Amino acid sequence: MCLASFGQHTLSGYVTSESGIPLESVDVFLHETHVGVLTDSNGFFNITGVKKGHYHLHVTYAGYHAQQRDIDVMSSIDNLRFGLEQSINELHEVIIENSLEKQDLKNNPLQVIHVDAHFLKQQGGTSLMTKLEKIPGIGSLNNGVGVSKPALRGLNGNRVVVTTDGIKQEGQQWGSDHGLEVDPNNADKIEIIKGASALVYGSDAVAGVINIRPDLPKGKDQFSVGQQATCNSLNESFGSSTYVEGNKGGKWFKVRLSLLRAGDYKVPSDSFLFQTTKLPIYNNRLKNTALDELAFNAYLGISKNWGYWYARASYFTQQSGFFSGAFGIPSVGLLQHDGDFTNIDLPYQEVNHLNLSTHANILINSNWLEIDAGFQRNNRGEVAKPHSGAFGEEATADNQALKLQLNTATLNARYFVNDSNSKKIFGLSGQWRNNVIDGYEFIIPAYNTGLIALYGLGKTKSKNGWRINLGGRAEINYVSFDSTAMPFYRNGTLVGFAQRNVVFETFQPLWALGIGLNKEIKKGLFIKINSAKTSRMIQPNELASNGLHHGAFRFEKGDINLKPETAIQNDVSIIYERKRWLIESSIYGNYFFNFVYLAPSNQFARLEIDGNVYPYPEAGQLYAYTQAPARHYGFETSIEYKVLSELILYSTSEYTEVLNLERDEYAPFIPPLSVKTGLEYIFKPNKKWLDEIHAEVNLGFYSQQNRVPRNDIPTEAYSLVNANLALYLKSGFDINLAVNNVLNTEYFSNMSRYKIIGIQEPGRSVVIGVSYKLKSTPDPH
Amino acid sequence: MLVVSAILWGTGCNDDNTPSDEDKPTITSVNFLDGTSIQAGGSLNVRITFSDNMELSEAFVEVHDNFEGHKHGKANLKYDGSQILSLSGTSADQTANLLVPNNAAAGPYHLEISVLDAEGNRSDVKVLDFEITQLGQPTYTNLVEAMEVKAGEEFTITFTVEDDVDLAEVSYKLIDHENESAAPISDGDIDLEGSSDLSFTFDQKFTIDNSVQEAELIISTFDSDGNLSITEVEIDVK
Repeated sequence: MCLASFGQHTLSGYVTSESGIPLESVDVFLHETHVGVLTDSNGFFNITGVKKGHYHLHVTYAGYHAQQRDIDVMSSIDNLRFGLEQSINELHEVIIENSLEKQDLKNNPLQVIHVDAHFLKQQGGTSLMTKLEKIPGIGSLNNGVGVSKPALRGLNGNRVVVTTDGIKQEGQQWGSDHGLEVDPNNADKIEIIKGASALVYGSDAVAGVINIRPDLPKGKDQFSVGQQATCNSLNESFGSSTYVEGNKGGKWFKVRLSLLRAGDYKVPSDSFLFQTTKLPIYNNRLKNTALDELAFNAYLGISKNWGYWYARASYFTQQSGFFSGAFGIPSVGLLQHDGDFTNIDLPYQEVNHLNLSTHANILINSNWLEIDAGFQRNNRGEVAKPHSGAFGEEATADNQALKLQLNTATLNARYFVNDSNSKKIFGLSGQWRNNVIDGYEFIIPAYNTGLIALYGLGKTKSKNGWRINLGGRAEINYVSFDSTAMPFYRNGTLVGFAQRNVVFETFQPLWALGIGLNKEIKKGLFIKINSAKTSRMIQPNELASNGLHHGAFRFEKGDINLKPETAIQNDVSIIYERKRWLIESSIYGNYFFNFVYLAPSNQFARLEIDGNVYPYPEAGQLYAYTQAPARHYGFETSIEYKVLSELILYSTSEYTEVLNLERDEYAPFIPPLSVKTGLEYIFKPNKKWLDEIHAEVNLGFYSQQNRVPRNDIPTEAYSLVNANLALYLKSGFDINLAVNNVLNTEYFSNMSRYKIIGIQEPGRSVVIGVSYKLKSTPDPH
Repeated sequence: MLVVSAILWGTGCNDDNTPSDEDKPTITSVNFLDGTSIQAGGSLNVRITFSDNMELSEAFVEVHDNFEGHKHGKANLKYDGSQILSLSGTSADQTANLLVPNNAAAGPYHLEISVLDAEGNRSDVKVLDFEITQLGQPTYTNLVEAMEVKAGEEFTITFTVEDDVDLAEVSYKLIDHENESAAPISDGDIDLEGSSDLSFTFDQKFTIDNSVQEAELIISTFDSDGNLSITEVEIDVK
């Protein structure tokens, strides 16, 4: 029994099912303070020591729709009642809000998708992004397997923002040969916002945002350890991840260590056709595609009635080989087996990412101030012998070709002000980036960038039930780089220095404006409308690239005259959820006044040394960053029907198109029209040892993709079958089995970099995962 | 904003009826025999004809060595005859002059040709191989070019390699002729740097099991001038 001291209040009430049956062990959690309790056998909960202020109370329980309620605490409240509805889709139940705007799925004017660790473990993909591909509108740009970049609605690179713990991940995301520097095992909650999200997330959030957060032991007292192991037949990989976490009296910690080793991956064919030359793939395994990964994450935090604070330290490192046929023109000699399917030989890449950050939420006069501040250091290097010819770069002893170090400092502050009929968020974002270059071959210069942004977002409700979001953002961007010169040699003798870029400095003010509307038109039917004017800051790679981009197989040249990419972006979504049906559909149409793209020029790459012009060795065609008006439009739909209480039939489809209106040409790496249909069986047997069975079969049909830019290769239609089975045991063990590409279909993907050199996508693979969690939760008293 | 974008949507539509040209230019003919030998100091004129449906722009004739990362070579220079040719019209006939200097390193070279049209459409790359020879490059003597061996039984390959100045490295690779992408049956390097070797006698024992019908021993020798001589021994396994 707790005595309410001065200025501290108690929140109590009951959680029942819709029909009034008390629910036990329901998580009741105060978002702002990370303080939580579990309901007792009567469905009763009691949170003590709550200060005066505005709160979001989250009520979550497996199998039911989560609820969130805004509560203004002026004094103790003892009559809170929550009647939870059973949910159709597991994905919709667990998490309710993850976004920086604190908006739940239905109240966000944009289409928002949440997935949790269970979903990720069920999917058999080889990387975090490929595990999300089941969701319409989400894709990944792949360089073989294990290295994949996020793509939202067909856009990628600089137009997608990824945050971890609320801080934008900076890791040369424009580069096309490396993936996200994130431990997939630590991504317990992923929120994907599709559509213009520039107001809060910054001007890069053109296509949307992927927010990644771990499950932290916030809320109640607990201590747990967990371990998971995963094997994938595709690359004979073995992954392991272990964590320890605990919370006592609001002081908590979490530590996780993950390791992954993968060998060369397998493809169905034993040869590939590069242009007109047939080349061998020894033992159906792509030479030198093995990879090693290590990730460490540590958290330390405190939750009190004034709010919470936590700090994070994380480190991710990956070493992965480049397929021997993907560097220069492939030849039989390069593809000869080296006797080992697990070694990483030249050429290879090394990526490591350090992240140190601190996160706080503080109660100030009934309102909340959230502050995220962090430092990131991203190192990305390529180790390769230089071009073999007489003229070119000279290797150093360590064969370090590319070496980029990007240091980023970030500060985000958001102040939430609530009054009786509106909510407001005032935000400040700041970022400083410093990029350092080394190695004998660099594509971008050393640079500094700065950003200061102020934004405001107001939410109100009209008399006829429309929720209206209105916001604006103003920012100043700074970019500068020095002139860079690169030495070139002929047979070991210095020929001279070629200037790679000029001195440049700019201050660029930008603004964005957005309006969002949403309404529950009738019970279970929601409509969302979002419209925004956005301007994306031109990034240093678009201004100053000048070199061979190995991952993209092309020579890329920037342009310092590019102007911020301005667009008008519109989204309309409808969600219908009644009885056995869950239907979600979005259409979007974006108009870019000056879309930035890489235009294939009618020239081969050259370099100039002391007034003499030389062909750039092994570079080929010059691709130049250019701007032109463009249209980006498409749709996503998802229909779920609960056939039986345990059986769900679903079908999703997606289509997207990016058309350059000046050249009448499509953008590269756009996913084709696809329709995925599946059956999901979720059964909770009344067994002592077994908690739940989850089984799923998914048939995906992908149409041909003829909408490709010049010099690209269209892809043909294909169908893929994926299946997975998960057993959740009462002992704390989870067993996951997934079979990808069950029919061993041979196909090319338009989202794969290797399509250009004639490499097919992986064939059938089996993924087995076992995880174990040992948890001790004291009684909720 | 919805209204504004609807208007833009309408005006933005491209209503000209000429579809953009996405046809690739082509390399119609190259008068160059794959595998040609050129004596250092000589020259070779490679006549190439190109064509495009609309307008040609540039061709790239890239010449570079195929020594696969070997770092040897001091005095002699690897040859690099890369050049960009300017083109126009729908068909063009151009000659790339490959002038191989006297001191060019002997060895295998690539000739790669590609062409762009005025719209930036790119042809496939045509790859041809040729060889540069030098009077002073390493020479093989007493080498049996084809032999028959018994599966599972040890056999010896022996030959002499000579150079007028100094041998630097002899490397060998025994491969399955039917399965060239498999790991070599046997391979190795013999480093002869540091002393002045005018002659070296190779004497190695090999065994090939019965899974291989035809094998090939590829021998590469560098001299200290950077000249590379490659030769092969065909081995029939009975």
